[in-house]
Amino acid sequence: MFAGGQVSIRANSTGVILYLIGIITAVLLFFSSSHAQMRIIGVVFSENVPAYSRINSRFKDILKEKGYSKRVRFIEQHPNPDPLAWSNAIRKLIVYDAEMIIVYGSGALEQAIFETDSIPIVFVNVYSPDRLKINKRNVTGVGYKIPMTSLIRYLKEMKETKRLGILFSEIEPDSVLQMEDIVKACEKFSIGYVKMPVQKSGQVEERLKLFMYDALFFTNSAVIGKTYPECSQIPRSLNAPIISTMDGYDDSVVFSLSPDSDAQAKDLADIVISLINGRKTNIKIVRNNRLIFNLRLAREMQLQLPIELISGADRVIR
Amino acid sequence: MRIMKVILTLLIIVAINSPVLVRPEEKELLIGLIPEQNIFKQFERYLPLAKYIEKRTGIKIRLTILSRYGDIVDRFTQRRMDGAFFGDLTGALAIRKLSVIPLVKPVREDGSTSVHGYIIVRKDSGIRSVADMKDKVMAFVDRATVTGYLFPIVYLREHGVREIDSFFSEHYFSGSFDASVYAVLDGRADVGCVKDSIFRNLVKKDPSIKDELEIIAVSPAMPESTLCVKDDLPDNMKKMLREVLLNMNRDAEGRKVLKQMGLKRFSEARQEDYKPVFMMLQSAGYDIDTYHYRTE
Repeated sequence: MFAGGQVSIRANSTGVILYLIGIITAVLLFFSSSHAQMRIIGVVFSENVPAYSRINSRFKDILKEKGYSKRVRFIEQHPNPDPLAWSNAIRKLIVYDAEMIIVYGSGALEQAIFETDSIPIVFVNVYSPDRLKINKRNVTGVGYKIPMTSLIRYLKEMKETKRLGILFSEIEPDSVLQMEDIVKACEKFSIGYVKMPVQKSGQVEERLKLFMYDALFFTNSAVIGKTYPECSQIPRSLNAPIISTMDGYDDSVVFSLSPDSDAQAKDLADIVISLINGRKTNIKIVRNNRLIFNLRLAREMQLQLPIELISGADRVIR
Repeated sequence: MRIMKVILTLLIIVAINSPVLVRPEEKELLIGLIPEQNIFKQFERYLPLAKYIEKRTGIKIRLTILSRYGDIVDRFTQRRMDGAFFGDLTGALAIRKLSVIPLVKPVREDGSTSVHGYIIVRKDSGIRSVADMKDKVMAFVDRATVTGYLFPIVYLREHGVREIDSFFSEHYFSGSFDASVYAVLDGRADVGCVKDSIFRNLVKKDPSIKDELEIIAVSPAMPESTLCVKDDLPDNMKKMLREVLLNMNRDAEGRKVLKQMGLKRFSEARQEDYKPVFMMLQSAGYDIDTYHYRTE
């Protein structure tokens, strides 16, 4: 009975051990399979640009809503907006085995294209990407278009402008395109202009002080976005209204016409989900632009108040 | 002789109670305007006309502008309006629901007395047909307009679109024709609608608009800005208003006001002018008595 009991205990121990091994194997298999499904997505954007943060946050929410939050792991890089920092950030993501790299803005996009032609690159918030001659098979993304004539049309209604200062970034290809398009619009409406190029964020203040202008336009640019808020009092001291294609600078910009962040986030999520599922996607162009008019600022600056802006703007700051 | 006295007494009683004897100068008229363009421009456009009528008839004219097209039908009785410059659909609704009669309609400088609705897109949008509008953003004007809603709906249906909610990624009502044009110009909407008179005014002010927009559909002719007044308005007042407006192109001051409004003259309006509106409603499968004209 005792001996039989020993056999029984031994048999029970073996069973328990086998049972534990089974559980451990199952757990390991579960985690290894989950890990295999987990995709690493690298994200590169300069934190100082409000639109980038807003799109990225909404994009993550959409992925969560669609049940993809446990299937992806994000590694975010927030480099200084300059080519070297963008390149370094992308190289780090390559080292981290990122399976996809999302880049905000054309400056980071240009460096990503230079660094890899095998990892899928998804760009966001890039103006007129069809004109940037991106002929790489691993590149797709979300772009936008803004009719620059609309900006000039509204500006003309607000103030008789003799010389529009055009602040743009020479190291971001789509910022240069915006400059070219606003120049054409100025010529069409017979408004004088002065080009104010920057290559580094630190040059913004200097350019704003150096040139003469009675209204200012600044393009969508990570370089300008970084330091512009600190220098916005310079054009203000000249009583020069500021207009832009960048939203998120509502305190100092009289009006902005910019692509809708939610629409960009939605299109970005669609593209990323398609890529996760092995489907190819085309470049998407967001056309839901948003017009934001700072009526309070326009009044303070004693500008004309175009009724088209008051009644037509998606948001009026009173 | 007794019979003559009775007849005379009866005539006096009838005359006293007849609206014909109401003296125009004792009355003021409240005339409603619809927001076919932004309300400030619209008010500015009609104010000289109101002053002119006042001067010629001695009837004080007060203008009131409604924030939405459908409001003019709802508020006409509530605000005790005597008449209004109705648009295409609001005019048809008013004739049917408010017992108003059309008095005069504008004749534009090119001699036309009707308007056409346009469906517009940006030239660089790549939209050339209804199929290209799928998943795009549409800016209608107001449900209570033919040129700003009903015509695009009929046009879309003729091209196979039954459900606009699922066809467009988004659609909304801009509230006025010029707002719809600016929304398309800015890229805030991909497709918009406008009536030709407003479009022409905008292009006249800024010719670049024509370079940027493409008209991809044109509606049949519709009545526009017709002055309709309450049927029970005193006859002499109706007559006086009609006469003054029909003849205002014959004096220099009248011509000046007409020119400011972009008009040649006014001509007599009739209920039959609204036939195309009723036909359009029929094509869209709507019954005017039950048509939901309020824009939420």
